[in-house]
Amino acid sequence: MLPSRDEIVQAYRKYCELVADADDTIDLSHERFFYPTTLLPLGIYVQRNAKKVVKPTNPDVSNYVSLITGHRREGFLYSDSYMPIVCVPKAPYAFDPIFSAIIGICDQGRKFGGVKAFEYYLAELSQNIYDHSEFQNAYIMVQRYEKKGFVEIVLIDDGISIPGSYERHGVTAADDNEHLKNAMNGASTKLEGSRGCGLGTSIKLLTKMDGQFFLVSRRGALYADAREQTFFKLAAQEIYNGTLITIRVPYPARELSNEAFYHAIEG
Amino acid sequence: MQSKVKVVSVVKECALRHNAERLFETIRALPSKDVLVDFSDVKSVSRSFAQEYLEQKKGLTVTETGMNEDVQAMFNLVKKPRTGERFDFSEWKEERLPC
Repeated sequence: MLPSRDEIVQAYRKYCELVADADDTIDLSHERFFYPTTLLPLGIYVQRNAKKVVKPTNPDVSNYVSLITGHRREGFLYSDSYMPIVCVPKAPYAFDPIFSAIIGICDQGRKFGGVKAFEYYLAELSQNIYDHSEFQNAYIMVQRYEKKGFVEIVLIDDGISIPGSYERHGVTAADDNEHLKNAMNGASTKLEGSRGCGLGTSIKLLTKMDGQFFLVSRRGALYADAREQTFFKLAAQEIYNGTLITIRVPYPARELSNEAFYHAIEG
Repeated sequence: MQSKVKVVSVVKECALRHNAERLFETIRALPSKDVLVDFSDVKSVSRSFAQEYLEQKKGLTVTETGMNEDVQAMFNLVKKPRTGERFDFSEWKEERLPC
């Protein structure tokens, strides 16, 4: 059983509050735990704004903070069988060995919903970073919480955001959540008719796996699982200038049948 | 005379779109304009790879061999007109970010 929707939301809210309270220094000395949903946007914020950080006293937590707030190094920042943080390289060719390594570290995705499903959503959501975001910094982090019975996977970039990408291609919408609806239903910013399915099909696939999907992109935000779907109206201090995607899947996640898999990704 | 290209000898992953572009850079550099692309030992391809492969293939004489069921299924999927259900947002809630 996965934690509630609000636990993911709270992890994002924690990032918002840390940033809102920040002056020149962000004091994390009392922080004892971070989900990737908090840690990764915090790391990007610190890098972008050249903030000083008072690190957590807990050495493990401090180590994670050092990795994500330190000098940008493409490739693996840190990895073992439990936690890879990946700094996504700007050149897509350089991503190939990283993609292979993530798949390998995650046991080919066998406990992440099956090989096909894991490769599918990881590839499609990574492809979106390259296709649309124009990022300076992007990270992927996979964290297993075996005792809690789930995996949290976060993909984040500091690019132009999904709404910003549509606007760049001349598409207007009433608000940023309308842009997210377009993206989910496969309205591609590219010319080819068959493109643009990655986000929507990944959400369908993950909810079919009893997973949770949370996305913030500029002023647009959404949450989806098999039972509950919500768009969020964000206040100014809750905006994320880029795109953050958090996925939680049960661990181990049952493998979908071929029929269920292909039905979910029909597009 | 037909040339043959083995996919795994050109690209290690078929996950991202650019690998299809790279594959076709190799294909276009071949002297023969009739090319057989061998997918044996490719376990899977992503949707993006399959889409880009079909886009790159347009106007060329390229045929495929050695596809396993999963690879074939992904190509079949992206060739089809979209048939998947669109999201119906009428049931979605809209609210402020919970505190």
